[in-house]
Amino acid sequence: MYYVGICPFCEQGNLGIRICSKEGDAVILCDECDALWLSTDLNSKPLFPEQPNLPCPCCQGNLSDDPARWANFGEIYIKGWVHIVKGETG
Amino acid sequence: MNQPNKRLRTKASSLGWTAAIVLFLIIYSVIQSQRNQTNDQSVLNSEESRAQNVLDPLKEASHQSNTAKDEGAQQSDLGQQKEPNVSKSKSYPVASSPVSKKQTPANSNRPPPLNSSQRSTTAKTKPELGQLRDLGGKVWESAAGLKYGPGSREKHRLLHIMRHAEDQPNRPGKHGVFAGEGERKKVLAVIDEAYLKALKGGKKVERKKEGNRIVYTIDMDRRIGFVGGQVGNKQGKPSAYKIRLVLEGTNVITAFPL
Ligand SMILES: [Zn+2]
Repeated sequence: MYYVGICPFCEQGNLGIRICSKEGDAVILCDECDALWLSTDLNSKPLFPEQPNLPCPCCQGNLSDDPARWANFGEIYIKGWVHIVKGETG
Repeated sequence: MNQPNKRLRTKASSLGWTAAIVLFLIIYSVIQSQRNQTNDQSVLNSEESRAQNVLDPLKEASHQSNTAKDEGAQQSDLGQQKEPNVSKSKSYPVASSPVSKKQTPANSNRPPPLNSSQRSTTAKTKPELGQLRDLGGKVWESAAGLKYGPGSREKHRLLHIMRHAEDQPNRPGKHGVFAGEGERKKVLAVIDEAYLKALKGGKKVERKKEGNRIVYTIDMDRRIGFVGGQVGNKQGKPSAYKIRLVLEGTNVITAFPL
């Protein structure tokens, strides 16, 4: 998973770029607490999508079930978020 | 003339005795019935108060009897447990008690024998922190009332929490690791303990609410794990004395030492 920072909400989780299951929307999601950002402004308040399926805020898909996934580098490049990538988790 | 008078005196005397005996019998039966009523009332009162006392432990008893069965099921469903808890859970004396063998006669003045629910008050009924019971729908409730259900990339919050049972030295940032040698029951027990402390509040508890989320940071006043991850390992795995709980109501999203 490419991560873009540490979650400012739970202060523990890694923030990854998540691709939703339907329209391929990209969001920033905490792998610890599921806090969600629609933009790279991580100082803005996060959303907390409904548990456990994490419906996508942009379409009818979700962030939980296949084919929802962590974005690969190509998908991050297309989204234009390469500049915020800090590295890759083990 | 003396003979009829004597007969009359004897007759009057025997009538007097009869009346006295009848009167005595009436008084005796009235007293007896009053005494019975008083006894019945006191038994009723004691039953009522006992029922009140029994209420919570009774809940706990059913809780525990489920727990033994449930934890076994959980082993297969969420089998990440290094040490099974089943035997410990089964040790709860819920259904059988030595008290049940000493029945008292129904007509004696002793209180009536306790029924099975009342017996549970005499048994050790408090569920241990960290024990779980199945609520159905893959949701498990801890002794302190926290719920662990489906969610996270691990597909279940119990599995998600157990990520913090061991270090992930390559994880960016910090990764809180619970003490307890990776034993789920110990991890859940300290989370339960922290939650109960959080509910009490006080100086050692920080509470942050955002939307439907509540984040508690609880100072446990003792070492409850260490800080791992990349940052923790660079710092020599410092001890962790606090727990952070991220909840939605009583649903656990995550919990970890820090
Ligand atoms: Zn987070």
